[in-house]
Amino acid sequence: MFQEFGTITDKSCLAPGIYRLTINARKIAENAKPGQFVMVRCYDGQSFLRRPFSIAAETGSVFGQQSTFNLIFKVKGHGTQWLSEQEIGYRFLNMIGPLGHGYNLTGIESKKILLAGGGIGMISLVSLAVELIKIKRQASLPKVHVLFGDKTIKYMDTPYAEHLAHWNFLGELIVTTEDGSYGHQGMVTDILPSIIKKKAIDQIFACGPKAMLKKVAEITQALKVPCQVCLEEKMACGVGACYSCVCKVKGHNMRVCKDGPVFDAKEVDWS
Amino acid sequence: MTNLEIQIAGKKFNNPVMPASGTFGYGEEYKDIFDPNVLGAVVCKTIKFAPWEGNLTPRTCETSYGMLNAIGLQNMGWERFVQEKMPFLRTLKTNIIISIAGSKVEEYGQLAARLDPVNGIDFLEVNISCPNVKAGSQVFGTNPDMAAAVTRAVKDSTHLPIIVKLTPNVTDITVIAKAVEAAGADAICAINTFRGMAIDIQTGKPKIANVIGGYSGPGIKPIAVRMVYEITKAVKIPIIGVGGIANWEDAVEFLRAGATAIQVGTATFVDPLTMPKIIKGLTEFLEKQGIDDVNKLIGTVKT
Repeated sequence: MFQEFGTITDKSCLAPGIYRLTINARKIAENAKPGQFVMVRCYDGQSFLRRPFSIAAETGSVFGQQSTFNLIFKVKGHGTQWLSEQEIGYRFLNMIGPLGHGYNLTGIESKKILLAGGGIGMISLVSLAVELIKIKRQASLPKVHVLFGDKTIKYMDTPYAEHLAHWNFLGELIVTTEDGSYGHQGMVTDILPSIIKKKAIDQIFACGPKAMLKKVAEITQALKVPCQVCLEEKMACGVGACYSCVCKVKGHNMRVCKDGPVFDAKEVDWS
Repeated sequence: MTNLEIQIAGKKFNNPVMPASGTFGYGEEYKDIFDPNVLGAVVCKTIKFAPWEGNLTPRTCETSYGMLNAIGLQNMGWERFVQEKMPFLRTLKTNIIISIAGSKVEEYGQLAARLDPVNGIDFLEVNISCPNVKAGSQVFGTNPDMAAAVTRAVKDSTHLPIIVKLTPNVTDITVIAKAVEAAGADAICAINTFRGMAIDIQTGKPKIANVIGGYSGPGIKPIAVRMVYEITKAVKIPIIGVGGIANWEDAVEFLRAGATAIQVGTATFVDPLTMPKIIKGLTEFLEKQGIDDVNKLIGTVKT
C-alpha cells in the first residue's frame, strides 16, 4: 500500500458518462493485482472522503510490468464528475493503493473459467482477463469465456468488449442487454446456468451489482461451481481501519476493503 | 532543539499527537504509509468484553465538512484482541492506549481487570461516549453519576492510568468532566462525535442504517475547541483534545485552548499522513515562535 500522486497520461470517454483515465503511478501500478482498488481524493470542493475505484489494467498490458493503469468509472456524483473533468497532464491525482485482496488465482491454470460481469463491474474482470493472458499463455490450456451484461447497447461499444473478443486466449464473448439492443435479451443470470453446463465451466469470477451477484451465487452453488465475487460497499478509510464497509461472510461482519473485496460467493450471506 | 515531549499521568509521550479511537484500527492498518512509532501514542478501536458484530450497513456517509458514522463498536472481544492484536502493538515503541466500552457499569470494571495484567498496555481510554450503541455507552457519558460510576469501576480494577472520553451531546460538559475527575480519571479525552442525521433526498431514507450517527470532521472543530477550553477551566487533570483536527494549525489551536495532547480522527481517512504532517508543522511553528517547549504553548489562549 502506497500513497502516491499519479499523472493522467491518457483520457477518453468510452460511453455517455463513462470515462477511462490512464494514470502513471509506478508504485501502485507495479504492485497491483486484479480485483484490487485505489482510494482517490477528489478536489471538487464538496467531496470529503476519498472514493474507491477498481484498478483496471491497460488494454493488452500485464499487471506489474507497466507503470500505468486505468481508472474506468461512471459519473455518479460530485467526485466522479470532478475526476471526469481532469485532463491529460494533471500530475496530482492523490491515491492510496493498491488496496484489498485481489482474485485468488491459485490452481486455476487448468480450469474452464467464465468471467461474469454486470455494468461497470466488468472493469475489475477485464483486469483479471489481462492477468489470465499471462497464466494461460499455453494454447493447450482451456479457454476463458466472458459473459457481460448491461441495460442497453449504449454501454456496449467500449473498447473493452471489442478487445476482449480479439485476445486469442479467450473463448466466447457472450453479451446480454436488458432491452435486447445487443446480444441476448435479458440478464447475465438468465443465461448463466446454460453457459455453465454447455461449456463445462468449473470456475467463475463475477463482479457487478449486488442483486446480480446474489443470483450468480445461488446459481453457482446449485450447480456446485466455485465462484469468487468482487463486492462493492460504501467506504470511508479503504484500509481496514474504520469498519464502515462490512458485509456478512461466514456469519461475521468482514471488511470489504481489507478482507475483500473478493470473497468466495458461497461464504457471503446474501440476505 | 524544540521539546515536543509531554506527560500525562506521569507517562512520557514523545509528542502530543495520537489517533482518535476507531479511526486507526489496531495500529497496523496504516503502517505501510507511515511508521506508527512517530506518534505520541497509538489509540486502538474500542473493544468490549465479548465480541460484537456492530450495526447494519450503510454505516457511514459523507456530509458537509465531515461524515456521519454508526459502526456500533464492532469488535472481536478482549480475548481475541489480546491474542491477535497485542503482539503487533507490543512491537511498537510508542504508548499504547486501549479504548474500552461496556454495556453495564460492572462490564467496564471486568474488562479493565482482564486487561490490567496484559503486557504492553500503557493506558485505558474509557469510552462512555459512543452515540451508536443502544445498550449503554453514551448513556454513561450524559449522566454525571453514571460517568463517575464507570470511571470508579475501571479505576478500581486496574493499576493503569485511565483516560475518560466524553461525549459532547450534553448541556454542560464541565459537569461530566468534574464528575469523572472526582471519580479518579487521570485524564479526559474530549470530545467524541455529535449525534447527527442525513437523509437521501431521492429515496427519503436515512443515509445510514442506524438512522442517527456520530458527526465528525472539520465541521465540529470550533465546538470541540470551546468544550476543551471550558473543561480546562473546570478540572485540573490533563485534557486530550479531539474534534475536527486536520492540520497543525488546528492542533496549535487545541493546545492553546488548554489541551495537553491532541487526537486526529476523520482527517486520517482523507489524508493518512495528517498526523506526521501535524508533528512536523507543530515543530516548525514552535521554532518560528521561539518557543523551546510545547508545554509552554498549552493553555496560552489570551482571553
